Amino acid sequence: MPRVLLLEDDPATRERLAGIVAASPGLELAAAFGELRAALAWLAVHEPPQVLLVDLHLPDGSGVDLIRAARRLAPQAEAMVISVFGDEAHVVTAIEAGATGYLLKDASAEEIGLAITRLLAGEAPISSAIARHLLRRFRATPAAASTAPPAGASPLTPREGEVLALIAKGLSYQRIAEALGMSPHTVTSHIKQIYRKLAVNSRGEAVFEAQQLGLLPGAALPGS
Amino acid sequence: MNDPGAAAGRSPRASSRHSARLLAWLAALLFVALPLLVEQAAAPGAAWRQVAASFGASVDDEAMQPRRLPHRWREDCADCASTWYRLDLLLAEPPRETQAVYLPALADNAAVYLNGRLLGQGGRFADPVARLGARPLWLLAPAPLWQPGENRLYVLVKAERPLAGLMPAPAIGPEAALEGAWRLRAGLAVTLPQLLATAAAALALMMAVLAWYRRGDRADPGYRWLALAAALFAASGFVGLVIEPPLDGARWDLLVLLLGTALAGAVAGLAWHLRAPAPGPEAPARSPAAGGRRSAGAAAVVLAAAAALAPLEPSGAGIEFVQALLRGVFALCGLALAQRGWQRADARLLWPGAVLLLGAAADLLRLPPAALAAMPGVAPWHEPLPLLPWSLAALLGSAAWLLLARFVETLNAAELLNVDLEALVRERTAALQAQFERVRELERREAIAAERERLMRDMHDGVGGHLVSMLAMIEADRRRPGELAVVVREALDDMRLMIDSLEPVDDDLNAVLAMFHDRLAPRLRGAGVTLHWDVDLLPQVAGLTPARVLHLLRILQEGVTNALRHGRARTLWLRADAAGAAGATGDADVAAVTITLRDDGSGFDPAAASGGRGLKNMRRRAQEAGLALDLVSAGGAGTTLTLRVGA
Repeated sequence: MPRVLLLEDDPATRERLAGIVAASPGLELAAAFGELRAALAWLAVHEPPQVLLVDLHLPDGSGVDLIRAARRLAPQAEAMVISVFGDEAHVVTAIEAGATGYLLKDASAEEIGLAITRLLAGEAPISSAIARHLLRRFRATPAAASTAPPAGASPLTPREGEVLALIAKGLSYQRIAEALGMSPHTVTSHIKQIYRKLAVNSRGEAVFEAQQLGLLPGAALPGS
Repeated sequence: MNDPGAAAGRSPRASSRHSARLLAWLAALLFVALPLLVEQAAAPGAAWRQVAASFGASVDDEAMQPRRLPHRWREDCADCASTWYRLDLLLAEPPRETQAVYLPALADNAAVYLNGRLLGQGGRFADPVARLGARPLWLLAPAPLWQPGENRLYVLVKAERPLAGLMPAPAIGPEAALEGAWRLRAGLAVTLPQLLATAAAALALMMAVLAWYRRGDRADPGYRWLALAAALFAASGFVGLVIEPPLDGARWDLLVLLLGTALAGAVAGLAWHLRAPAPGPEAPARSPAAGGRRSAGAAAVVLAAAAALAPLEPSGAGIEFVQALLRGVFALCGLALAQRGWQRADARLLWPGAVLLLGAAADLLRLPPAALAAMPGVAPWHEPLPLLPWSLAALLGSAAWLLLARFVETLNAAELLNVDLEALVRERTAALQAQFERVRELERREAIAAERERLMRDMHDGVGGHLVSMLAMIEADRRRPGELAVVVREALDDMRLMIDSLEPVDDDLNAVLAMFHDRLAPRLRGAGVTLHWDVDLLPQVAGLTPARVLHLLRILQEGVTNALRHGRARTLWLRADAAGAAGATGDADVAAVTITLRDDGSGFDPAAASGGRGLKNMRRRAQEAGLALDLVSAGGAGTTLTLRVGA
């Protein structure tokens, strides 16, 4: 049974979410914490969970640190960000750290259970606002989605760019699949891929920046 | 010559100006007399001077007549040409060292014999005869040439023109005793004119270059006059230093006179220019009157004609007449300058004018017309140097000083103007910059204030209202957590709308609707309501500001809330497409989008709906956002909300 680690500093919300997870069939609450340090300590010594539910703003740090740690200690774990508004500024930071989705804090028990189940099933929820942000980030305009995005500028394949552009337009996965002539399942896997690329891309940037700053031993820089 | 302005003005200043003028005159007098004073101070004493002599046309002692030296031919020998002088020197015992025979000035050439031996001569005796001019003749007689008792000294003097002929009183004595006087005289009569002529040539070149670079309307004509005068002065100076003329006497005289005439003309032009009031607030610039120019031209023609004819007269009276005329011209120029300088109390004009006037007058009196020559005591000096070159050099130097000072003043003024202009430009730029910053700051503040006001209003309408409502519920302690949860959820939804409205959508209505869908879908799923989402790819809609987006989102939100809460709808249809408005207006750029929200709820009667605070709000928002809102509903037939965006 998939185990869930919860990190949320607001006691009421933590209790509510913990209750929802515990009550969900097919999910097991491994632990719930209100502080980053405690969660990190737990993660270091316990069997890695399959799901992380992480609030970003914590009294002793950022939930992003837990997601990063989980990449090392629990590579199989899927991370979700818990956010009040689900605004892209928060969520994209978390995605860059390795998260694959987000939950609204006031979502109903059904929604939360469904979102976690979908996450474990390999789906990656993505809002149109986040898709638009990613498009801007990868410098692939929606208009260019039908043609190939400029090589080198974007790590996305043309197909991924098209999917992202249609998500940004608010089309459902079903309609995207129809428009692009693929199955809804393929759309989902494209989105997963995009998430991964974003995380990898941001890690690559971090490595590059670290090298620039002399924090890491210099390696041959690709393309420079 | 009185300056009426000075007389009427403040007396201390007037008196100081007066003394400055007198000082300038005194300085001029001192300057002109300087060569004379120097020469006089170093002149050989009377003890060495031999004044007793005999003269005759040949070395025939019988025919010779006694004459006291100096002997100016004009006085009693109008037909002299080559004249011999005999001086007898009685010596008790012959000198042991070399003796010098020193003749301070001659006209035009001389040869000196002692006891039948030629001591030396000034130059060629054949025509054209050498002209020593103001040069002294310095000859040495070694001791062996002298004999005890009578020694006989013969001097042969030859002059081109009898009137100019001159035999001075020679000084004879030990070399050491006379050498100083000779060297001084030679310096003043040869070296100094050479230096002055060379300096004048350099000045002429400089002024010519200046005049060339400053040619055109803005040019100061003074540069050209000064260049011309300096060049002619240099030429006259060099010609005057030639001892053995390459031309015959008459032609040489013609050349000298024409050069002198041209120099006089150039100096007159220069003086005229310097005299003209400098352009300024005191007097407006003024070009010389045409009448003045005509008479000056006529005078120049007459002078040139006289100079051309004068050498034809063999005695030299014509030449002297023209020379006197030229000196008169110089004196007038000096007078004119001195007078203007006196008027303006300007020593820079007064002094050179006075110098020129005094120098020309001195030379004029030394070489008077024939009528004056007869009068005793009119020629009081002992073979004095010509002073005019000295005075003219002073004039040229002063003029150069004056013109360069004007030039530099103009330059300085221009530079100052430039500096002022630059400062002004900098100042203006800074002022503009400050103005720009101020305007930008004001605009920024206004924008912030407007945005703040909008947010406040939105919060007041939305979250604020919900919070008040929650507070009321909690205070009433009605213990209906379900109702409280609904209000809290609405407050959260409203805040999310506000946050979404701030998202940059780049006029993309699809993006706005997508955000709405992202918010709506989970809620409907949770409520078990089916949502049919049918949104086309829409054209861009200009001016989708956060305020308009929020209005649009809230209208749709309100529509959904009404359908669920009041209509108990189970199915919602949202359709958005580009309306045919673009075709209707014929303007392809103006896009219009129609958004239709339909439900299968119980509906209501829009006309009768009294509990329509929500409806009223929707209409107000539609109006503020410039949206066309249409609500169609009938009991049991659901509700259709149509919004038209753009066009």
